[in-house]
Amino acid sequence: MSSRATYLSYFILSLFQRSPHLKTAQLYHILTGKRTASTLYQALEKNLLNYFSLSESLTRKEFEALIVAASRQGWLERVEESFYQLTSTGKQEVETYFKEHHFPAHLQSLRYGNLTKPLWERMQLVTQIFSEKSYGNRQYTPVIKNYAHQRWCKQWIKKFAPLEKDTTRQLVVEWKQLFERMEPRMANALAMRLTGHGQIGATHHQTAQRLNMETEEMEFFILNALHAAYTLIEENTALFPLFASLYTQTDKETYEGLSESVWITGQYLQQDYPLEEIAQKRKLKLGTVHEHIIELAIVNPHFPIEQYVPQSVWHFLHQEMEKTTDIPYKKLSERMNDLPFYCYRLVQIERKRKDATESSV
Amino acid sequence: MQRNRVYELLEEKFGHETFRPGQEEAIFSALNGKDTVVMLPTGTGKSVCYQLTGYYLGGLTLIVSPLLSLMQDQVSGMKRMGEKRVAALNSLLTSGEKRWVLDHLHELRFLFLSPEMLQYSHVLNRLKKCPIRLFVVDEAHCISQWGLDFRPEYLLLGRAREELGFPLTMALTATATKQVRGQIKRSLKMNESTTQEVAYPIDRHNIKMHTEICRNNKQERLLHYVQYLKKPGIVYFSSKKTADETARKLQAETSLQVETYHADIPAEDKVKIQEQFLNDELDVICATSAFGMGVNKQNIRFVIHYHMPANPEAYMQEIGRCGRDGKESAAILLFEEGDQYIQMHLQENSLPEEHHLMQVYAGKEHEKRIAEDTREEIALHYKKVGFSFEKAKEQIEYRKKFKWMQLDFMLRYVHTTQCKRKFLLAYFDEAVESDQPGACCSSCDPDFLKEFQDSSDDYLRHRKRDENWSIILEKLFHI
Repeated sequence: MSSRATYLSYFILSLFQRSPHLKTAQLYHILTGKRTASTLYQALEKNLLNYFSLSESLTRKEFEALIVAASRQGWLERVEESFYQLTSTGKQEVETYFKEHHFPAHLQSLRYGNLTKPLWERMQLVTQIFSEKSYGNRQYTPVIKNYAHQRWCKQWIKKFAPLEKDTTRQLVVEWKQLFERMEPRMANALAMRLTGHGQIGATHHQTAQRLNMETEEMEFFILNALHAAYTLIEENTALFPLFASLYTQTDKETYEGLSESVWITGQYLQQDYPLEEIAQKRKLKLGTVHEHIIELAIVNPHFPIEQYVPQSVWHFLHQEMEKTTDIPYKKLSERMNDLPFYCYRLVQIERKRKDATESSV
Repeated sequence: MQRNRVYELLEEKFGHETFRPGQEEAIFSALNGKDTVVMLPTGTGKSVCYQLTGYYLGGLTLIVSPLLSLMQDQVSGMKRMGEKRVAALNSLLTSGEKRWVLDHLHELRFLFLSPEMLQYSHVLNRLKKCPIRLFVVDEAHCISQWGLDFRPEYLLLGRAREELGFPLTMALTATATKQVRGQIKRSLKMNESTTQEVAYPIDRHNIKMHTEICRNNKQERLLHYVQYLKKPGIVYFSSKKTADETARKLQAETSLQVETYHADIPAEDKVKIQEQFLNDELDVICATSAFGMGVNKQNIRFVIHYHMPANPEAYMQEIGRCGRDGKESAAILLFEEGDQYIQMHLQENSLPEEHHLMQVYAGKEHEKRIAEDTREEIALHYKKVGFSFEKAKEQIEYRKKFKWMQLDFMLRYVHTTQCKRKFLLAYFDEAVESDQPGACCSSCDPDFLKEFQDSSDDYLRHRKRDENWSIILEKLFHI
């Protein structure tokens, strides 16, 4: 790759390091968010879930040009039809690059994909409202023009934060607690984007300037900072009652990391509707409902997989997979008649979860 | 009519003791029960004309506006000034919100709406039940195909006005030739013999004009001007990419605070850039025509056009953004041979071709068709207002020819060695006032730009931005 290769290019190369022996088409679908049960599972399998839908606007042409350029440089090599891996030179190049540039280690695009923008906009607006209130100023231009957000924040304040002085104090406490728990540079980057009394937040371009980064790297940096902040809020709701309230409500409105249809199926499942009835009510094929369950299981690490796999099938699958880790479905279906594919997939997901938990201990 | 009450409202609602030129005439014309077409130069307070009239008359004032963002700015602006009985009705609202507005019309004093809202019978039926004391058409030149920025949906306003029982009407514009003003009246079904025209000269004496023919050195010349001239200023481009690239270059090669503004800038950044500019935190904005409407900054000292605009109306509107404080300001147009082709290329894709018309006219009346692009949208609107296929085709040909004529005029303006001001005003059937003081353009005085040399940067608040979160939080909240 030439010195003009972009941050995105190096980031994509780093994914080959994270997940050796990767099919480029798979990676493309993961990065652009092709939301099928199969792509989601591949992302899980390749340890790339955090980057699902990270670059929705990346075109096929751009992606392939990147792969070709990296191959020409000798940093990627094709090992089989469509399978690529980093060469040792490529690994060196990526490592050197990320010694000098920030690597976004907190990204969780799948979980926070639809949540990122609206939650950040609401946090900014609420901050601005209370900043101006604290100075007794009611004449200002809202930093977020979106009417729906403005109205939403007004309602939220009425319901959840009606006492102005208390809320202002609490908001300051929560921002401090949040920033204290983040890497200082990330905290500073988010803070400088806030707007309030006497301060107009920095634009994308201005943030990049101040961080001394190219715009593309800055965008990853900010996204990473936001995801780090959201994880802190999600895992420490007692410390962040105001932010947690904004988070929970916005998360629900944006379907909690799921597609709308899958989320609706999830709501029915929570009410214990049988799968066939859900399919009937929603005028969906039963197979589609099975795919929804797969997505639910992938996105939500606490989804109760066992409830959706008949016990005998569950035991059989775990037994066989214990003996042969990546045993294909075809082989298993020869040993058990009418083995539902979605059950096979769910147990694979369950085992991956267990492996992930064990490896992090 | 109580004249004193009018002046009281001016002070009470707007904090002014006197009217700006043209406002009083427009308001009294309407208060005397006359439909009025108001043409006042950009930045001279057209909104006071209908707001004050609305306050005096009571009831509901309906304001048709072409741009959603402008509408939002106007509603926010009125709310910021303390008027809560204002709302907008447009596609940005959810159906629940639209229902709320329609259910509470009797509580509102001012309702901004997009022209297509008046196509809906349920909206018209609700409005018919309200006492609409004033019907305002803002940016009324959008009615005319011969004016700047034709919007086909504006063609339906005459019918809407008729359905509402021909309420008292005020049509406002900043840039409209006599021909366009005539078309406004006809389209809105205003009685031509009784409708009053309040047309103030569009000339802005304090804006001095200069054109420069460049020869492969446009960027260098721009760099020279932005450093040389008093700031702040706006540089207009016809291309987002060039705006971005030039802003980066200016940022890299000068110590100026420069930002870009165009349709692709994130919404949140657009607000910030606008506010920073208003707050004197930015020296220069590199922008497309997306920037400026609703930005009421008094001390803009220059407007440079890096690309020649398509027509004199756009040019007047854009240069009109500088010098609103009445102080001398510079309008510079940089031209390089070949620039005209940029506009020609843009124009090629803006009007429907015959096949667009054929597709639209081949569809059945009852079929709901959603336009795939602006050209189809224009074709659909011709059909909707009852133009036959042949008439629509003829209109489009006229418009194409008219656009070439406008572009040709701009080319001649660039190259003319006669008084630039005189040349430009003639397009609007205006003459230069004989008692106009001082130099007015580079043809009359080639050295006039010396007056605009930047000798200090008093205007710019030198502020070092805080970069530490703890300090930022401390300053954000006063507890």
